[in-house]
Amino acid sequence: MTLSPLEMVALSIALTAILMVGSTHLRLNIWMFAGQTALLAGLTALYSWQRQDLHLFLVAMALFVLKAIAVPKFLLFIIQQVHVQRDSGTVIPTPIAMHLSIGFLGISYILASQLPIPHANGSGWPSSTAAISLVCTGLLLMLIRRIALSQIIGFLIMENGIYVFGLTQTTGMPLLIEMGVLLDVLAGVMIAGLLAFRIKKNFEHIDVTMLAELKE
Amino acid sequence: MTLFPGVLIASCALPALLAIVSLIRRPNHKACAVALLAFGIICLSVAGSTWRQTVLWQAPDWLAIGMVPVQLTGDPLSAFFMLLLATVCICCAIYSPDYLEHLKDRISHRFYWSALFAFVGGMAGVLLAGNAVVFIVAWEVMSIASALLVLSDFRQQRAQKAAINYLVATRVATAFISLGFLLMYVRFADWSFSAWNFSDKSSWPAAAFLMIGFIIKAGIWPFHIWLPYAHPEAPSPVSSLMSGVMVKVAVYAALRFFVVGQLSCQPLVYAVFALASVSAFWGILFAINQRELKRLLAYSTVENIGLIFLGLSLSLWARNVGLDDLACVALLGMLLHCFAHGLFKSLLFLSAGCVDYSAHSRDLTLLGGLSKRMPLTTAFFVLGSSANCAIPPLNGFVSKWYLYQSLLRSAYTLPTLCDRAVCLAAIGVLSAVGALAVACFAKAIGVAFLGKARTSQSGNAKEVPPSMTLAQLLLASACLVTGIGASGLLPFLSPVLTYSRSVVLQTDVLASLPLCQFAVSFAVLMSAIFALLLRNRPFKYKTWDCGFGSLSTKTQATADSFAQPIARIFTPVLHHSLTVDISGRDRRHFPEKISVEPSIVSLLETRFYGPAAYGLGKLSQSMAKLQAGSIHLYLLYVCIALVILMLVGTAIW
Repeated sequence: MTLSPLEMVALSIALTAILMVGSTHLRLNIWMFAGQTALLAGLTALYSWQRQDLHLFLVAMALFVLKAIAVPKFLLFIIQQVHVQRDSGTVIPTPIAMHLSIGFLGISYILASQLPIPHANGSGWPSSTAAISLVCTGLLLMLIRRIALSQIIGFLIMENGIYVFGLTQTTGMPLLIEMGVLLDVLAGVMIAGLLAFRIKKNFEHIDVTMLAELKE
Repeated sequence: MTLFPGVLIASCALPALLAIVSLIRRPNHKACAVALLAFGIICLSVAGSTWRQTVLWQAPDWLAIGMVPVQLTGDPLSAFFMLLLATVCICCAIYSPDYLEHLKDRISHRFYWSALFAFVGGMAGVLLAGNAVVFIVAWEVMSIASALLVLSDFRQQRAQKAAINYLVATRVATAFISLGFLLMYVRFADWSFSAWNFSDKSSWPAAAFLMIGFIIKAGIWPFHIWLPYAHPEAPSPVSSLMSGVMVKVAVYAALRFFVVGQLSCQPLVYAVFALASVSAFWGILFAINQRELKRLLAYSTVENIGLIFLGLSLSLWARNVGLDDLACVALLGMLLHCFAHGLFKSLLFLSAGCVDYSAHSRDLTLLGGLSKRMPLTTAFFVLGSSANCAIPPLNGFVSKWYLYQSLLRSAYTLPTLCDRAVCLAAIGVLSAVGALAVACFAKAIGVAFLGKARTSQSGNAKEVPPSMTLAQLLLASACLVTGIGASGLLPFLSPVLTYSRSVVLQTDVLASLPLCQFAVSFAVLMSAIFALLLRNRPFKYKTWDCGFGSLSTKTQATADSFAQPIARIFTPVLHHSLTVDISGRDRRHFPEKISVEPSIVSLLETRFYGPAAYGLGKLSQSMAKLQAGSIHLYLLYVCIALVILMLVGTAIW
C-alpha cells in the first residue's frame, strides 16, 4: 500500500491525537495540539497548492494564526492562571486509553472503507480514516479526563477531525463557512477557558467529576 | 343576517380581549363583572340567533391555525348549550363582586379575572367550533384556564393538590381527544365536523378514544376522581361554572360527535351505559358521606353526569336497534337534565358560596342553624336541593321524568330479553340513586341550616348582600319556570332535537307531564302530614333530667352520624369504619372523653390510582438516575444517541 504525501500528513495528524491521549501533562498536550493544528494548516496549504485555490490558502493562514498560535497561547495562559500542570487522574488508565484509541483507528479504517464516497481523486479512505479517528479520539479524551481543560482540548481535536473530513472528502468548502467555523471554535474556546477560570475561582478545583454536586 | 356571524365572533373574541386587558391592568371587580355580564348577553344573542338555524363563519386566511382555517358554527345544538352558558354567566357576574370581597387577600384579581375570561371564552369557543383544530384549541384554553381557577387560592396546599390532579386528568383527556381527532382526520381527510360521521366501522377506534376523553372531562366513574377535589377548591362562581357548564361542554361534545355523527358502535354504547350507571350510584353514595358542603355538591355532580350519560347512551342504543321514538325521548330527557342540572347545581354552588361568605366555613361539622340567620339563602338552597332530588314542580323532576319514561319504554320495547333486563336494572339503579339523593340533601340541609349553630362563627352569620341574593333568585326562578312551564317550553326544544336526531319530534310520542297532579297530590300529602302529625304537638320536658342538663349544640346529629346508617349498609363499597376512643380514669362508668371518628375509603383511589401514581413516581425516579450530574456521562449519552441515530438513519436509508 502506497500513501501519497497528503495522506501521510493526514494520518500523522491522527497519530498526534493518539499521543495526546497517552499524556496527562496539560502543557505538553497543548503544545501537541498546536503542532497538530500546524500540520493541519500545512495540509490545507498543500491542498491549496494542489488545487490552485487561493481561498484555501487563506484558510490555512487563518487556521495557523488562530488555532495553532492564538488558541494554544490562550490555553497556556489559563493553565498558568489556574495552577494545574497535569490531569489529576483518568477514568481509564492512560495506557489502556491509548490502546483504545489505536483500536479506534482500526475501527475508523473499517468504517472509512465502507463510506459511500467515491475514492477516485486520490484523497480517499486513508484521509477519512484519519478524520473519523480524530473525532473518536477527541471524544475519548473528553470522556476519560477529569480536568476541565482536557475537555476543551478533546473538543478541539474533534473539531479538527471534522475539518479534516471536510477538507479531504469534499472539493472544498466556501471560505465564508470555514471562517465562520473558525470563529465559532475560537469563541467556544474563549468561553470554555473563562468558565474553567471561574469554576476554579468558585470551587478551588476544575475537576469535572466533582461537579456532580451541582445536579438539580 | 349579517349580524349573526358578528355575535359569533364577538362571543369568542371579547373574552380573549378581556383576558388580555385584565392581565395587563389590575382589574376592578365591578368593571369585570359588567364585562362578564356583557359576555353573557352576547352568548344569549348567539343562542337566540342560532336557535332555529345554522350560522357559519369562516375567518380570513391570515387567521388560520397552521393550515386549517378558523371556522365558527352556530347551530341549534350549540345554541342550547350557549343558553345554559349565558344564564350561568349572567348570574355569576351579578354574584361575583360582593362574593370576591371576602376572598380579597387570598386571590389575585389579575390572575382570577384573566383566567375566568379565558375560561368562559374557551367554553364558548368549544361550543361554536366548526372544525377539530378550533375545537381542540378552545378546549385547551378552557381546560387550562379552569385549572388556573382551581388554583385561585394558591397558598392553600389543598388547592395545589386539586389543581395538579385536575391538570393531569385534563391532560390525559386532551391526549385521548387529539388521538381521536387525528384518526378521524386520517379517515376522512377533513378537519371540519360536518364531514365526519361514526356510522362506519373504521371510525370506531377514533370514537372510543374521543369517548374516553369526553368522559374523563365529564367526570364519569372511574375517571371522576379529579372532580370532587377540583370543584370545591375554586371560588364559588367558578365552581358553579365548572359544575354547571364545563362538564356539560363535555356532554355537548359527546352529543356533537356521537349523536349528530351517528355512532353505531354498540359495544361502546353498552360500556358507556354501564359506566354511567355506576357513576350515578357511586357519586351519590360518596356525596352522602362528605363533610364539606361543596365537595358533597361535587360528588352529586358525578351522580347527575352519570344520569345524563345514561340518557345519552340509551338514546344511541335505541337508535341502533331502530327505535326512533325511544331514542328521541331519551335524548329529550338527557338534554333537559343537562339544562336542569346546570341551573340547580349552579344555584347550589352559589348558595354554598354564600354560606362560606357568611359563616366562613364549608365544613358541615362547624355549621348549623343558618336558617334563622340567612333565611333567603336557606330558601334557595332548599329549592336547589329539591330540584336535585326531582321534587315536582321543579325542573329536576321534569328531566328525570323523561329519563324514567325512556327507561320504562325501553324495558318493554327493546328487542332482546337481555336488553330489557338491563334497562329494568337501570331503573332500579335510578330509583336507588333518587332515594339516596334525597337522603344526601336532607343531610346537607338538616346539618348546615337547621338546628343550632355549632360554632360562634356560624352563630354570627348574616344574610348575604342583595346582589348575591339576586343571582340566586334568578337561578331559582329559572329552575321554577323551566319546571312549571315545562310543557309549554318543550316545543322550543324541537329544533335541537330535530338537528341532533335528523327526525321530527312527534309530540304525541311524549307522555304528557303530570306536573299538576303531582304537585297537587304532593301539596295535599304535605299539608295532611302537617295537619295530622305536627299540629298541637305537646312540648314535653322533664323536671329532673338525670344530670344531662339542657341540651347543648353537641347533642345534635352531626353530618357523620346522619350518614352513618347508610354508610353502614354500603360498607362493602365504602369500607366504612368507626374508630371509637373512650378515655378517663374509670372509662367504663365515668368516661371523661369520648371521640368517634368515622372513615370511608375510596377503593378506586387506594387500590388503583394510589398504586398507579406511586409506580409512576418510582419510574420517574429511576429515570432521574440517568441525570447523574457527571459531565463524562452526559458526553457518553450524546455519543450513544448520535451513534444510534446514525444506525437508524442508515437502516432507513
